Amino acid sequence: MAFSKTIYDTLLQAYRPFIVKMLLAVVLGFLGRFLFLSNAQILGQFIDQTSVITTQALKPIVAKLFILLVAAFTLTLLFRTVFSRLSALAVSRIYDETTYRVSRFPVSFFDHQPVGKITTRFSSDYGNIFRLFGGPLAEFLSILFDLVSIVILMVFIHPYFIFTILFSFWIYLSILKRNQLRLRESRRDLSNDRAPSIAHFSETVQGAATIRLNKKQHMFTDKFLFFDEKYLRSKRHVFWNVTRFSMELNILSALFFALNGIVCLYLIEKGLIGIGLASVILSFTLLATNTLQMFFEWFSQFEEALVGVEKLDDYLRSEIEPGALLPSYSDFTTSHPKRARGPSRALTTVAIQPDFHLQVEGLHFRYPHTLNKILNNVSFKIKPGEKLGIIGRTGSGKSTLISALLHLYPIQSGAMLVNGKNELDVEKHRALFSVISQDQLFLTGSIRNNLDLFRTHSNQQIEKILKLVGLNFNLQDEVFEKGQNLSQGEKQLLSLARGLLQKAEIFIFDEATSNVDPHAEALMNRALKEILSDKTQIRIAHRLQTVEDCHQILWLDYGVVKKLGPAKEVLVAFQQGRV
Amino acid sequence: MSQTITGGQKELLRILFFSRISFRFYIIALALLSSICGLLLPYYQKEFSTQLDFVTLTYCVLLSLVYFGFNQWAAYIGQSESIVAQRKLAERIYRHNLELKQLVLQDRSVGEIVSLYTSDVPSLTVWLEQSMPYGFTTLFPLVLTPYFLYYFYGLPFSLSFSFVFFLVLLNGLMAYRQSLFFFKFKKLAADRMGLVNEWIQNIRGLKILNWVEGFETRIIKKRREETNNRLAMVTNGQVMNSISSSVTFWLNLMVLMFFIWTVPADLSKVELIALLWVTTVFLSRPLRQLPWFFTFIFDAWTSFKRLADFLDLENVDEVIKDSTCDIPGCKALIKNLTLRIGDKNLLDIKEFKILKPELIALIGPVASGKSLFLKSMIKETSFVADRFFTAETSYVPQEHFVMSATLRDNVSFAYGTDPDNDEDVMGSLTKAQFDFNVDRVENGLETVIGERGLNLSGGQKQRVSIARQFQNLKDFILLDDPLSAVDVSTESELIKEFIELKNNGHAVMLTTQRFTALQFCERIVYLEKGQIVYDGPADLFLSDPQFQPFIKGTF
Repeated sequence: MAFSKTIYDTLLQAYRPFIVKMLLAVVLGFLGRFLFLSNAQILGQFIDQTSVITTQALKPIVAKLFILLVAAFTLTLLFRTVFSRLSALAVSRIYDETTYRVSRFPVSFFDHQPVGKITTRFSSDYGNIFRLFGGPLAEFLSILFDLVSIVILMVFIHPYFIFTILFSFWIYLSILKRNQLRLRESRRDLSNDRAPSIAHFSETVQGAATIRLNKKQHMFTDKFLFFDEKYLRSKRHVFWNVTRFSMELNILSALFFALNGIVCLYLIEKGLIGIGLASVILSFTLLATNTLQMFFEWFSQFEEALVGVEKLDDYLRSEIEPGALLPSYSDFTTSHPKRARGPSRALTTVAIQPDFHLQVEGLHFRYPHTLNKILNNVSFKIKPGEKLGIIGRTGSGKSTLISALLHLYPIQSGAMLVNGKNELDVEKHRALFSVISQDQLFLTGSIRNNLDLFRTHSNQQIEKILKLVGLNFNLQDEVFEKGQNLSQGEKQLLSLARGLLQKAEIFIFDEATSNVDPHAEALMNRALKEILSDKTQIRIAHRLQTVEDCHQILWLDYGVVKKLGPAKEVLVAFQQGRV
Repeated sequence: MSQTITGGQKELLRILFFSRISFRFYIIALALLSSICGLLLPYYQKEFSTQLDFVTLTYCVLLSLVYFGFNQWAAYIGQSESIVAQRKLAERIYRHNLELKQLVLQDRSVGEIVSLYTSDVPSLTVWLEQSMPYGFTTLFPLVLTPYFLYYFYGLPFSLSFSFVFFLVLLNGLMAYRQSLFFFKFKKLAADRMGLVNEWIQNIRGLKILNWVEGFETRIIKKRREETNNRLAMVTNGQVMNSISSSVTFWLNLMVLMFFIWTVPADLSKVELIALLWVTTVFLSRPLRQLPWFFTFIFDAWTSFKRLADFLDLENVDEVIKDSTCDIPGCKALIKNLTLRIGDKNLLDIKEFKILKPELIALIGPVASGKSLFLKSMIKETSFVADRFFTAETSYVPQEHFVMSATLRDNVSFAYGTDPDNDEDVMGSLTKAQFDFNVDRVENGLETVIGERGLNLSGGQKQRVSIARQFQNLKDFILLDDPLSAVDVSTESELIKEFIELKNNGHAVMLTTQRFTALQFCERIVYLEKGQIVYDGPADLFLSDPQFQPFIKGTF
């Protein structure tokens, strides 16, 4: 499995600010582990060089070992903590940078991806990366240090061991290669088999009452057990493959042990090493097997984490919507345009008051990846303070027109000028509009948060606006998830209040469904006629009385402008057409 | 407070430790065998150092092989038993969830219940997968080594066991501290994911409002908090690991020092070597496992509690004194139905009857008990009634339910439905006003919907739910706010279908906030604070001055 090349660049960018400190920590860490292991070697050498061991003779060597251990422990601790902390900080940078980009992905991206699929990258994928690149990376490196130190120390005892090391290493690689493929495959199966059982479980939780009432418990339980069984079988398969691999490694280690034993026998015979160093060799041999096994366990986990990095990297490098800019504090260099640092230089050109507030010319639109043209050559103009009503049957393209006006999707051709200008910065463009409807964004939290999330207005200002639109809320009143405790009408009025606070120029009223209680309907009608009386408005109507008082009405039919003109004229034609 | 074991806890412990008990003993036996082999190794190594022959070398090689082999085997049984336990636990909570009425679960979110399955079940079975094999492969060496050191070196038990005790205590405390960080981490990560979910689900709204950058800042603030906790956790963990990965060397040094300064004894070369062997090789694995053993135990504890709490939830069933009705054609007959939760009276229905096919609208202010009344009629609440009878009932909930399957399966409500009945399925969809063209469903009935398929809008899901009930129409049909997400023309078409149902002999009762629908209903039931305030013809209600404030919205 080859990873995409960009992930290494991404990791490098993430680690960039810490790289010198971390390299230094690595050097200290290696030294620490080397000192630890040389303990045994010093002891073995001492045994061989001393003819008769007395407590007296042991004293200096134990003192030496003590100092060595203290030094080794300090170095290791320093390496482990410093390295892990910096590494955790580094990978969390990937999270932030991915967030900046995903926020600016085109809306069509979100239409085609299930929410769960996107959020998994921020939960389990990031979780995996963060977990492994925090502590375990230091552990992994420590193990690597151990292995390298063992090799060095063994060869240092006698160069002959290089042959047994190389031979075992060769066998190890072949075992690794065989098992790695098997393990990867079974791990992939495991992750594929996980999702169906979870999705099924979560559906059932939501539909338990329906299932009970239709007496389908049995069918659903069977289905769940089928999915769960499949997942558990894959899991067992992974366990078995890991066990099998460990067993093979055990046999290899026994072989390595036997080989080194024979070499030791030979070297002792020749008088080249004593029993002290021979036992050090054998200790190292078994230690190396333990260590190799752990090395591989971590190795395969890091592979999984790299898959996670790859997934985030995929988002890091995906295209963002046209006209969007990354925030200036975004630090990774990818192909995306970035906002300039410092306060944006407002162009101080004298604003010429254009004749039209909004001008749309020859708009053609189809949703990305589809063939159906939804809007076909739509043109209209609105003067400042004028009201335009849009009517048409369901599916005529009314709601699509809003999406196009807000640049939520790219338009195929045509021009859209606000105040005679084509604003290229998509955020600035959207800031000119405010959409009033019950499908707007409502967050879990207080009313205040829902009106002014970033606290740019004072309490008095917000209270004033709430009173103005006729809502009887306290700023601290709770809003539930997706505004479930608000009526449809209250939602409309809140989105109106929000638009007023944000000082939008053009108000779009989208009467998406008719499910509004009469009280709120009355308030909304008043708002449209009184509060927004001097504002430029676009009203998308379900009921014709909503647009009766507009200056002009645009009748959309299959994405084509059927009629555009004074309200009365168009309404009469529309009603005749319906009969 | 006396701690009693709840039924749920008992059940979990039974599944984990007392079912398939022979396999639990295999783990213990294998761990013991492996420890004995592990300790025989230094013994034969000592022999090898004095004899220097191939036979003892072969013993050593075989012992090392067997030692690792038993270790591995114990671990594998643990893993395999954990899978068996996972299956049992998953099935148990799945069935339990299907049994529990909504009211019992009301304060738990869907995500919370799903996480019982996705994270708590695997995390609890870690007790079998890791703790048990690790526990015993660590415990036996830690107990046996002091014996070994005593018999071969005369090292007093007091010294060796207090060292072991100190190690266990230290590891236990650090692991406990780690688990506190971990607990906090789970909470912070869940908070962050709450924000991430909100962010992705509302991305369109955030873009329209220009709140994207601000919302990002919110997420990243949470992310920082989580990272900071993680840094503390990582530091603690690294200190723990540094200790556990070096403790063997300290142990070796400690024993040496003991023989130099405390009880001077001349150790032979071979004895020195064997000592080195026991401490650095034999104990290295158990001592590295020790902190993990504790960490797993603590981590699984929260899952244990959560799963047990869930299993301890119980339905409170409805109490009905008389469930008969001898009036022919009777669809519903209710007398003195009350529903109390805590000290709140949620429903108090003196009398309610449906004796013929009718189209009934159930209306009332927010929180007047409309949904609860419908749910009571399908016995999903724990009400008490003198008399309660309903004909067989179809019910469309307010929270629409779709499963990850084809549109066809969703409507027929069975997996793998035969396409032979497509005409029937299409009929139901058409009646529910689901239109392939308008609804942009390109693959027709084959389209897979639900979490792992096409994202349907709320309105679309609602119509699929309605279509499903059209497939299996009962005498009495309850619809909870079926018009909440449809446009005006769909609304009138749906109402026509409801009238059609009535004409075919069904009683249809629906809740709605949309009053244009009321004129088509012949009977209106108006609820206020859980009580029926009006029950009668629609025209009388609509013209009654008493209800004008409600109808006009100045309520």
